[in-house]
Amino acid sequence: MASNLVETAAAAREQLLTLKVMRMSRPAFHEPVTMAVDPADPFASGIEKAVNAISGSDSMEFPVGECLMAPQALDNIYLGETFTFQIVVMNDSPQSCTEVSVKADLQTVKRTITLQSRLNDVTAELAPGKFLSQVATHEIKETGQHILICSVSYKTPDNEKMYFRKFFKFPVNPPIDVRTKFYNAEDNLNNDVYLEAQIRNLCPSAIVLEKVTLDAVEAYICREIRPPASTDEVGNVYLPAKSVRQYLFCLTPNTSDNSLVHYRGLTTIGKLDMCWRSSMGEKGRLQTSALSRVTPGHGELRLTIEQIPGMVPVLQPFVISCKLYNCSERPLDLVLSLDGSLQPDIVFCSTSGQHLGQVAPSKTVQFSLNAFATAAGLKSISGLRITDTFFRRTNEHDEVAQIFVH
Amino acid sequence: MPRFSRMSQQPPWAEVAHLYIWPESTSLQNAIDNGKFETVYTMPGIKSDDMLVDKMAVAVSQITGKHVQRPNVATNVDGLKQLIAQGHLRMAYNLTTTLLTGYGQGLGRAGHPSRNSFETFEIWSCRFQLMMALKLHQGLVAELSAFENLDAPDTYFQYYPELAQQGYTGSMLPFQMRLIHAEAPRFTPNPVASVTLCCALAEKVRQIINQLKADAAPEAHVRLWEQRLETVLLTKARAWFTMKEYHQCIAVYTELLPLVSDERKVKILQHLQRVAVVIGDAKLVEHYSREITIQNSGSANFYLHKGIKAAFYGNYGKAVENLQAAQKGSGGLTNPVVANNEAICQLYHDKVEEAQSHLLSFPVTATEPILINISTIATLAASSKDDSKRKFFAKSCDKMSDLFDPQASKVLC
Repeated sequence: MASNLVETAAAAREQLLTLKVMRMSRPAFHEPVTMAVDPADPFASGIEKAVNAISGSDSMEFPVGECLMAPQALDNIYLGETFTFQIVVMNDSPQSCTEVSVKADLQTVKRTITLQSRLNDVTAELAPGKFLSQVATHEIKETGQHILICSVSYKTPDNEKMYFRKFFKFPVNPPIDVRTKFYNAEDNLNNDVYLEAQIRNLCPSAIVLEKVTLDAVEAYICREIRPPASTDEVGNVYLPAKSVRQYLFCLTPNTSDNSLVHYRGLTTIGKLDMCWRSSMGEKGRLQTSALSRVTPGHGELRLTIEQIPGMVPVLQPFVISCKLYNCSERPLDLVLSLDGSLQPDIVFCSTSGQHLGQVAPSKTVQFSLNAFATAAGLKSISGLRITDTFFRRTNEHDEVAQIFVH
Repeated sequence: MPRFSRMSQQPPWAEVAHLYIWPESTSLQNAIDNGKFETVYTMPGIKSDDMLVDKMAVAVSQITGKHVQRPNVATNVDGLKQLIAQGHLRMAYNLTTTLLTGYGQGLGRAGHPSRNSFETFEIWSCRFQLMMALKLHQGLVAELSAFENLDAPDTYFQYYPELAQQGYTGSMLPFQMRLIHAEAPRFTPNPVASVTLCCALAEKVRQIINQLKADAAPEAHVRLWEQRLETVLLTKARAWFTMKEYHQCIAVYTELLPLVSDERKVKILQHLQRVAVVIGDAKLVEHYSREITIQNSGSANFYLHKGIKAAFYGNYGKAVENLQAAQKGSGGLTNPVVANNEAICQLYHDKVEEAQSHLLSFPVTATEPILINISTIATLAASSKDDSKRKFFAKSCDKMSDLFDPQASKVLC
């Protein structure tokens, strides 16, 4: 009972110290009154001089002033930015306080983090009218409600221990929305896959994208496809509010093994890493979680065209070099047959029904085809039929390559 | 030569004719052709005769108990000039209300014929400029409407036979009024109209420049109209900025750079650096910082732009160093921009006490940014018994003109 009364009495007693927190969003420029000034006007120069005396500027013509202003209003803060704030503990009483210590915690939806602060030093003394201050920072890594909890403990001259807490709530929203889409360009000639990333600015004002890269996993080599740079474009990518910017990346498997056995099924491609700045240079950075795709199946057998001429005259025979990969886990016994009916302008000279032999899992067999074209134009090669005699299954390969006939 | 204005000092017409050059409008030509000079087309009238309160005088009295002395001037255009020279723009505005009312163009007179003259047009031009400076934008747009497109027949000297006979020719409207007219849409829901007006105005000015050159006019006359063209383009850039069309704004400044004096070029580049900071584009900030360094070596405020660049990157320690170097080169401790920015960078550099004392020790008349920043920092780090803000204000308040707004400067809170 007695201890309860003491606690209540302590709570009812007025605090000697006060705590203030200021969110240190970037300082903005003062925006002075502006007006055009005709040098020959009898009044304009005098008016400009009067206005300059107020603003500290030396011209009335420029809308962005030269003076930086301490933050006056609460700005939004976004995921990926750094939360910077100033804590000030002031002794607004006539008595000295000792063992002043300030602890700052940030509580999010998922957890509570203790922020680094030299004001944690428990031997600090505060004379009347004096204050302690510190700027602290924290990288925002979650969205949702955040609560900054500042706890102050100190001792009065009577050696009484005092304690109080202050809470500052603020929401954190995502600044950008990222959508990705994979395009499989794999065909018989290459193994590339393309990633399209769409970045939408969700902030009420514009941001500037400084860097958007795809950190690809080791298994892929990544190249960004960019539009040609214009010579008069000096700046970074400017993204107004609600606007979308698209990026395109080409990923090539980092292997000479064209069976791509290790690239099958669900594979991780990498992460998108985005850096931006908003007005006055406020920095932000976000990474997506690992992006994955399901590789399209090749089935048991993959045919690649190793060599084919790009152009050939009409009626001149040409050679198509092919390679077959056994992508399955069992040996295959392969027979090649040719169906010439699918492409009347291309005539196969090679024999159909050629036995290519047994091919072990992950192994290859090569063969060549001879053909000639009977009409000019861009022609496709179709009609290759590979039969596995063990399981009596036939793979059909059509439009495996193109050739220009002149 | 008969006077065309009641001003006390009257320069010879030949010396000032070039200031009033303006192409004749179709409506003027029709009036001249028909020989009809009686119609009054331009019928302005003030829309509010409220006298502006001297807020500074009230604040000084509240805070220091002192009574501020305001000057006694004649009720004429010379009086206006005196008030403006002393910075008392509220009193000057009130005087325009009195003068125009005296000329029959007071409250309720808009749309009713009255006697326009060179002098009444000059007072209207002065009033509009004061309204810009005092941010009385709604009233400005309302009162400007009576002047329409600034080309009514009765705004030309040629429309007044007694003046035309003596050789006076051109627009009686001050060119400054055209600048304000082109800028005014910036304060309406249709700011892009300002860009359109600026383009049209620039085109007319270019034609005048070409004509002056063709007529082998004195270099000084050509130069004045080139400066007028510059100010039209600066107005266009401001209109784009208001609409947050930053890249359009930058394009206009870039177009101006090769045309202006070296001194103005530096100011434009410094402004472009600040626009780049507002956009948040580091590449642009670097580009303009380099241009300023090349253009500005050895001049005052040389380190100011380096300080701004460091602050852009959040490198406040470096910003403070640059600003301290700027202080040495640009008016020492009395440069309000350098003093203010050094203090703010100290605030961000975790040095609140230094920031406060730097601002409070500013030795000459405070500016609005300094007063506002003192107040903002005081909300964070001043005890309830601390009256250093009041003392700082009291120190120089009698040198502050009536243009200071104690509310905007946060002096009273």
